[in-house]
Amino acid sequence: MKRIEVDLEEQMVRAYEDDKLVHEFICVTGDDDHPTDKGTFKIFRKQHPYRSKTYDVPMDYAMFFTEDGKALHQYHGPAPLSLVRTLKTELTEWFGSHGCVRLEEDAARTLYEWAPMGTRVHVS
Amino acid sequence: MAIYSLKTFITKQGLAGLILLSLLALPFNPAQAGQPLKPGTEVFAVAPEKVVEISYRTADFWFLAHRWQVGDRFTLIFLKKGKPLPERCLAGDGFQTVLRQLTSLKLRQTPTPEQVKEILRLHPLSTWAELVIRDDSALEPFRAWMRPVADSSGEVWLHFLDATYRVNLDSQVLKLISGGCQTLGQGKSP
Repeated sequence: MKRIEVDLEEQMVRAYEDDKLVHEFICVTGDDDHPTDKGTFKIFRKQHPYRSKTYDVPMDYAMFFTEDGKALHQYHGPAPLSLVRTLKTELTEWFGSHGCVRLEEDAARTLYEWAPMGTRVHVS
Repeated sequence: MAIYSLKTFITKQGLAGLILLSLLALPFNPAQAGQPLKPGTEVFAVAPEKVVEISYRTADFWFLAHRWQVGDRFTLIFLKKGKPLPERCLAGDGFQTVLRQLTSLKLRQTPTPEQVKEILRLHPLSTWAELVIRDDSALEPFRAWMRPVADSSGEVWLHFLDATYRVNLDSQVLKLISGGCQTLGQGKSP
């Protein structure tokens, strides 16, 4: 069985198949004002490409896991995600997302291709 | 809020923060053309049990499947050009096939930009069927345009946002939809 674990403290996403780690990626999650929901969810919608009308931004390789639209997706910002992640963890929450789990493009695509609908997403 | 936070950040972090923010504004990470998805990957999928509405519309035909909430049975409505009254029925087994297929659109092939340009030149989007799928989440509905691939059954061209794909779609699906209540209604099987 496949599952995705999002570690908010480490800002890491790990993908497991039958309890074996198969993918590990850095990520950036929600800021203090828009925290990523903790709990266990299921991917109920996938779409590539995707564009959020709420924020008018691209969210490619989107895999939605909460009813209000939080997803794992590609980060499209101007700076490398690794830098944004460092700034979020070391400097200020201001660099966080609005609750989504942002991934580098390769990571987002790999995870999108790997995770079928219904894959469990555990956020802690 | 964002502006306030930015000001607060700069105030707190001083010159170092300002430099960092300036660096972030630089295009370190210019947009790159992404690799195409692997064939077999769903370019769109939604859990069928969460769907509350499907609309499939061409120039002379409109199929609408609707339910007020998940768990309810779908009501199907068919409008055909030249027929003043709509056909209406409750969804039957045939509809489950349509629902299952339309909620899992798997990539067969990603055409090149030149191929897409040629397809759209020969067949402008205004001649394609419009597909809208709404689920019970807060997300905006999926909206795409669809056209059968001329030289292949079981495949359609699918266009949404700035993407055009060749995707698998059982050739039965469009036949079932065009059959109206006869093929999709309660008590009828495909």
